[in-house]
Amino acid sequence: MLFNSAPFFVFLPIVFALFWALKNQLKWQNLLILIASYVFYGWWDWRFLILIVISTINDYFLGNAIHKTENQKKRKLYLILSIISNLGILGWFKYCDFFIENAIQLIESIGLQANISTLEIAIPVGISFYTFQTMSYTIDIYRKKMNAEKDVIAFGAFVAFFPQLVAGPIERATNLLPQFNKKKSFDFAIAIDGLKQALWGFFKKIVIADHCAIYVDKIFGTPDFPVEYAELPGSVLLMGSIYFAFQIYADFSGYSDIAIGTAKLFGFNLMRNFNFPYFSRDIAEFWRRWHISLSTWFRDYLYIPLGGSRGNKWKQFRNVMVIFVVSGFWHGANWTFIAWGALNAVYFLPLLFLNLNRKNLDNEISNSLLPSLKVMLSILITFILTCLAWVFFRSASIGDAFVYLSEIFKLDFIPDNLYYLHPLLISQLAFFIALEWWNRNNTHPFEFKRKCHKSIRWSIYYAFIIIILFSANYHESSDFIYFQF
Amino acid sequence: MKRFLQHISIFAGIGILLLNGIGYVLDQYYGKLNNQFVDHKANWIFKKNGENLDYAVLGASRAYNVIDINTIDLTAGLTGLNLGERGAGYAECYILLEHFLRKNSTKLLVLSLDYPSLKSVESYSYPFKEYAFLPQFEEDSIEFVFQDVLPPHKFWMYKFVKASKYMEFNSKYPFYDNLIHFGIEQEYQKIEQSKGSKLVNKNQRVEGFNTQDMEEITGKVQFNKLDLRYLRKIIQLCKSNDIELLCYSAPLYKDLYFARGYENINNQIDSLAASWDFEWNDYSFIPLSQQEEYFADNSHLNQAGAKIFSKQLARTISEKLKAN
Repeated sequence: MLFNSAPFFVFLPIVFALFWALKNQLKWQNLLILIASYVFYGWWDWRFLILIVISTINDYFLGNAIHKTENQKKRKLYLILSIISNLGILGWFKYCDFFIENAIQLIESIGLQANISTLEIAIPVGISFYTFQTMSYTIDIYRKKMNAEKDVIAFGAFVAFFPQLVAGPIERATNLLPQFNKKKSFDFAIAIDGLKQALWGFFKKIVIADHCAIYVDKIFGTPDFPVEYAELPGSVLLMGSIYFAFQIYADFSGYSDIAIGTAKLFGFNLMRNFNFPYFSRDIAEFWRRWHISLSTWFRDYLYIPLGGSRGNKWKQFRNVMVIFVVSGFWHGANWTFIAWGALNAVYFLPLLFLNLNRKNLDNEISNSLLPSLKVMLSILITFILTCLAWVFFRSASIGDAFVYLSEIFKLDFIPDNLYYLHPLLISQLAFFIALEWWNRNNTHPFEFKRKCHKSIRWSIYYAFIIIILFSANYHESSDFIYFQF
Repeated sequence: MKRFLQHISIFAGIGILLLNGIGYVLDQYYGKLNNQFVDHKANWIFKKNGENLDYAVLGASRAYNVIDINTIDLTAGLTGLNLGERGAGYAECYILLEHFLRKNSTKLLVLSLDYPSLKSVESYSYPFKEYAFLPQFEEDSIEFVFQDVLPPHKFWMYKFVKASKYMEFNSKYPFYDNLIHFGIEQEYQKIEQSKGSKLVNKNQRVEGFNTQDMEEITGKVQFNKLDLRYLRKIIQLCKSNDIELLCYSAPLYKDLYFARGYENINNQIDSLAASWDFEWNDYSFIPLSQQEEYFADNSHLNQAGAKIFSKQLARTISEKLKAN
């Protein structure tokens, strides 16, 4: 089920009403969340529910097994079993065809005949998200950061919690799981804040991301309508990468906002996933602000165990490359994602070696109305670097990405086609950036910190709702980009 | 929770009022502009005023793209217009005709009637293009058709949340684009010159035709109830306005004709014509059907074919008018 689809707007009020009707009956509330989450997921393809159930049962028992024994060898064995089973499911469904395809290419490149073919396996929606979430659970029990969950229903609801099941934020068991064991009382302010955050998420997705997508698809091309990049001027291609930067940000952070907002309606607090990443002053800061739940996951469960930024330069280099390449590969079974990760590592390494990677740690970019020229320049450079990296992320192949980038730099920077500079889209983006900048110290723009009359607040909400309603596509469903991961 | 529900109810209530206000403004705005931004023939037909025609042609693409009014007028010395629109089922045709007759008249209606038009839901990709009539939704005759054709939830939404229809078709009524682009008007100037016809200047007939549908193979088909209902309403509209009715089926390429059980299908249409008392001329398998060069595709004549067929039809129209 998509957040931006009619069934969700029927589903959510029903689940909301039932949930609060079961007030003070925690077990029943958890059961309701579990059933609702399975309905939510099964709406897309009920057959793949079996994977979530397997993942849930598997980690439930292994988590308890790790917790119960003090024998270190056994604990390690159970943890390895959990990791292998989770990565096994992920590997089979997401990466199997990629490895087969590359094996075929390798065999054929040395002149041999490859008698194998890809298995054409369908990738279950959100598999990368929930497998990582359940892995964090067993790892944290192994590290004795938390106790194992005894209640299988609560654990199942944690794994499949519908607001964040298919595209995150990838929650830590230490944050989310205890919330399923805590009695909830309805909080008016939190619920209203949840609705506001969801409204902001819908605006990002429907108005910004989907509008950018029209132009991105025309510039980058789609499998049905491929584009000859050489026929487009560099200025248009550059615009395409900028539009994609906004599309993917508004799409993904919009999803996160809707997820966090929806969870608030049920009294759950999910972690923040984006913190205005395009206002970053360097790539290190960008990665602290972009897809925070994934980058912190890799930091805690991969980067630090590898040694992090300790050790000699070679080890630092190795760790950075590993974390970025793996992060890229997590997104999809394609060399383009690996290249995207590697390119970000290349951006990051000079900062690490010059000890500048933790230079911009303060969350508040600036308290002044406008940034200084120096800050503005560093934001702009970081944004351009990010846009260039996004070309790999969006392209169908590495070859396409290189052609695209080389065509950007052919220096015919005269926009000969004003079609791509649609005034409405440009003004929407300008408004979006201004609003994000203005609210950079809040989680969403509807957090009115200064006293503001109700009529003004409501007028603003109505304005946004009307813009969303008049921008939505009611005839074609528009998936969230990160569903495929 | 009570406070939350109160807030949400008040907020939703005001929101619905607001959307109705916006819907009212948009109805006025688009209504005054006579649908001029919508890419649909309604926008041309609704502007017609004071036309006294000898005949008008109505139907889907096998009227719009296949009947050349200039050829008929020249051949028979008549005055006609082509009111056909691509992919229009009879419900849509009914609205177009009913609106046209409010300010104009015709002695004869030449109506395309064939297998695809009697099964418009299956044959056409969008047999009722409601978006073309949104500003006129409140008119009784159009509201009646909408209620009949649209799913109930959609109809009631349009009725009680006026803006919802423009929200749904925001790509057809893009407020911002409408303010800066005035392209569709120019498109309809061409149609004015051709008196509503749009002939297809190509010869790209699809090779071969095979159907898996047993109904089609045997020719024992069930016509769509909605199409039959609106065909009947068109017939009644003609009677109440003293308009003679001449139904026809335009030529089909021989492959298509033989692949489907057209003999049986056309016998069914013959029976329908007899029981409902209207004249139906079947041209679907005239000698022209054998000649590939006159077809744009299996079911549409191209420009050259349309001119030949229109000459033939001109004689029938002329005779029909003389007889009355």
